[in-house]
Amino acid sequence: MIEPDELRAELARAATVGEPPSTLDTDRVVAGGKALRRRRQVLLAGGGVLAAALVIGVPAVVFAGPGIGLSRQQAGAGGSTIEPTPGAPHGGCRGQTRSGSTDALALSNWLRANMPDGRQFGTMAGWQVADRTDCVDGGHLDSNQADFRRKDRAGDLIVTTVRNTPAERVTPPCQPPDVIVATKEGVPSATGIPTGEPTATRPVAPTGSGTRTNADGSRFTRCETRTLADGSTLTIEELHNTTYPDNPSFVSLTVALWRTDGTVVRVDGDNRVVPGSGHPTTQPPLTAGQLIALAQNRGLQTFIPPAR
Amino acid sequence: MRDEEEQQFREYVAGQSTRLRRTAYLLSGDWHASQDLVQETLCRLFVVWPRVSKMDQIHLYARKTLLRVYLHTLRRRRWREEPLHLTPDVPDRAGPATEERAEMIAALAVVPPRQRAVLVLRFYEDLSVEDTARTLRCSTGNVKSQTARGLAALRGALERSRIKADAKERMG
Repeated sequence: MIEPDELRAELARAATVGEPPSTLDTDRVVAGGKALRRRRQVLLAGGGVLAAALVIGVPAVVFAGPGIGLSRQQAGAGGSTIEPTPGAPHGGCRGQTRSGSTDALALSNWLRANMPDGRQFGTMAGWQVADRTDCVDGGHLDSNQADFRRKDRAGDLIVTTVRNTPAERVTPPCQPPDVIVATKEGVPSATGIPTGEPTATRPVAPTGSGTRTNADGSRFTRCETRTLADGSTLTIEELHNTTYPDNPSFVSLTVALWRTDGTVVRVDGDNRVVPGSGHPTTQPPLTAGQLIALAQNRGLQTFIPPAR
Repeated sequence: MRDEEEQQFREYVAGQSTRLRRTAYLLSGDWHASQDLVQETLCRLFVVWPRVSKMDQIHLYARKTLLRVYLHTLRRRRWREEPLHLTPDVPDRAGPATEERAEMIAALAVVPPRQRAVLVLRFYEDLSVEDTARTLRCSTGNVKSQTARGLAALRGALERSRIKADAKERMG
């Protein structure tokens, strides 16, 4: 029979005996907090510039670019009106991010049932996010996103469905990752992927097919564009980066399906180093073929945000 | 957030994350999971830091957030991350204390999550029934009943574990 005082002592002992050293990094926490705040405040799309951001170590796919002219103060402000911002595309936008939204949960549930090798993946609360952004010029930038992690923690999968009004133009693969490199504030996240605030850097001209080495040391080893029979476009890119201290074998495989109606389905798989495993995984969680099949799955496309 | 507020937050993380992690460990029974819980908690805390930092007892808020993250995560996720090839936590030195810790953590794992949360708050964090009720947003009566049930479950688990250990010892 354990008495309350004995329980107190045993709990205190259990919480400290054999305690491994903490690997919590304050810089990572701050970067994660900023990413979370940013995610809550604004998610801008349009123009087709891909920015990858992380929340508590989980990659989130966001679109940045033309909307970048929106000031944070404006984006996060309350009230129901949006003041035009001189020079800002769409004249400025206000976004609302809803974690665990019905739409994003539906997407997540569908994925759980239809993902290749689905039993190897899991998801958690807060990893299903819907963004609804309204702009001064009447434009809407909407997306649903569901994140998954392999149960062995060796990789993350991010699926995003996007509808922008006006429709987004196809962005060729392998844009230099200017918008996702670590900035002064950005540091490698828990997964080793930078979580810096996206910079306002615009992409340079499309690179087309082939490989490309970027200024930050990362390298695209696959840049592919396919035009499909129905007129939609499929882009495939594979990015390697050896400069992240936590994940020197970082590899990200991204497949985007640019549909003729201007909507986009994006599937992104990143490898991840399991802390303490000593066995870094060097492959994305799904193959390119699996990602392509997923992006083209008509069932998945039903989770594209509706027109409004 | 102003620079000095961020600096304050960093100081808070440096000073309090260990305490939060220990609580998270008792709740989750896994050091990696506890690290994830604390990271999520601190990220959420960062978002509201300009407001929270003005509070007298920041840790109360942080602990409340941790508990909510923990319970919310359990409620919403339908699976539990089960690392397939994680290196197990290896203590610096194995010994009786380590065995007792393992026994207690294993016993806690048998206790349902909410009762476990109540036990950790009341007997590790030393909160009163009222404070526990406030933290978990429930009535004091609920805390009392959860405590009684949690203790019964924990005692049962510990007794079973000790009987098993005794039997093992006798066998050889």
